[in-house]
Amino acid sequence: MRWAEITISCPSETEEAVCQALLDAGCGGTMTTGTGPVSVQGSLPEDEYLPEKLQTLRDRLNTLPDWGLAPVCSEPGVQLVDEQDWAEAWKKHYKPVKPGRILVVKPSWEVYAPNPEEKVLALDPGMAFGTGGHPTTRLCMEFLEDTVQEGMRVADIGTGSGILSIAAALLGAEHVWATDSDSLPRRIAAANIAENQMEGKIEVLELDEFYQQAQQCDIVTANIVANTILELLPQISGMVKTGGAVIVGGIVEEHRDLLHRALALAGFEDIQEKTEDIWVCFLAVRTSNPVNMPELINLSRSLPPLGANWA
Amino acid sequence: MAKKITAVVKLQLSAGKATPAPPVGSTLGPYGINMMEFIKGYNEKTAAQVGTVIPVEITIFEDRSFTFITKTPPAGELLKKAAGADKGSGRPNKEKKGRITTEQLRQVAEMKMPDLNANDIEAAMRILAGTARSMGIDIVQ
Repeated sequence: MRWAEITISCPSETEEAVCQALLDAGCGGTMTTGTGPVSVQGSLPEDEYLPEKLQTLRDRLNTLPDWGLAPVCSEPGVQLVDEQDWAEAWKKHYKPVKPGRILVVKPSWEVYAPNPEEKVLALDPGMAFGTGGHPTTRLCMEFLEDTVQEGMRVADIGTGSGILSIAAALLGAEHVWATDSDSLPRRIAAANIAENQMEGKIEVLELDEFYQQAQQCDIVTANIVANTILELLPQISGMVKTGGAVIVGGIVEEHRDLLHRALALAGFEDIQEKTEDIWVCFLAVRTSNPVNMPELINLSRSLPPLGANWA
Repeated sequence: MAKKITAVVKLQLSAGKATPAPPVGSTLGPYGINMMEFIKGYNEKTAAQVGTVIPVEITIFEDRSFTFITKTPPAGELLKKAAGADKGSGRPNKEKKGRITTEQLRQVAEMKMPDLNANDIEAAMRILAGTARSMGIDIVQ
């Protein structure tokens, strides 16, 4: 079976009327993209009624100026597309990824035969949480491979899908505390931890409980965003034992120098970095130096915000 | 973590009844987002509103993850309800589906103000009056 994909470009004030015309023509839904002139799309099955439905739709669109609305920008474009198994087709975008030397992230539906030195995590893509496809997650995983040793205590702030916690546990951490400020990622992380049979090693906690329990850590990871990391650095600094390390990611290049200075002010040294694309990830070692709070607060005030197109 | 937005897509779908058929599958499929997770999430969130169309705005990030928020019913739905019409007219010049008062139009405009590209309530009412008439719904005093 084929579908007629109908695309109509129109001024935004006409969008509602165009959407309604498509729905009334029998489309199961509509899609709008763009601003200013928007592009509205709907689909109808290719059958004997299609020509008549398209004609009715064209007639109705032609009347829009009669009702005081701006006319559509052009005749509706119609393209025939083959029916696909839409429920499965999106999966072709995902293959196992190997960010570093050891860890491999695979979607649950892929079969992967690991080499003896490889450790595999199964994670399904979904709502806004990492699957190892994002540079900052990959960079943090590389640093975890460099630093995690058997028996370590690890804390993961802003765990999202739980990917870094699972990675740390796979690499030998004895206990991992994970948290996120939002309950949805905490639930998703817990599900992914169960999927990877790591419930015995990783605890997902609400913030208060997390900060009470995650103490004297060998490693703390925070793959979040520069502003939040800056805000959390004094707390993070207190959680890492002397000689332990922090891994911070989610930092864009323009915030690199600022975060570097902030790490030093929070009592860290031996600061290493990895970069990919516009992303920077830091690994730094906790010294016994105290946290310079006044300077850290000053620094956080100077952080430039990210522009539009970011969330 | 901070994420770059690839696309913001607005869909108008039947509440509680989204399926992978077009437009959901055909439009979201190429972005590589987890279709079934979106569909399940949308249907769960809109289950109480079955029988109406509920718009949803999906933000797709560069790593193919996504978030979505549901919006108030589209103006067309509200206008149909106000006029007691089951659907819009295919021939709005000839075949009328109902009528609404200016006051009802103002109420719909007030409800839809946040979603419309209109500077004031009068501009919103003008857009919605056009939308109503294009569906075969007349406006009366």
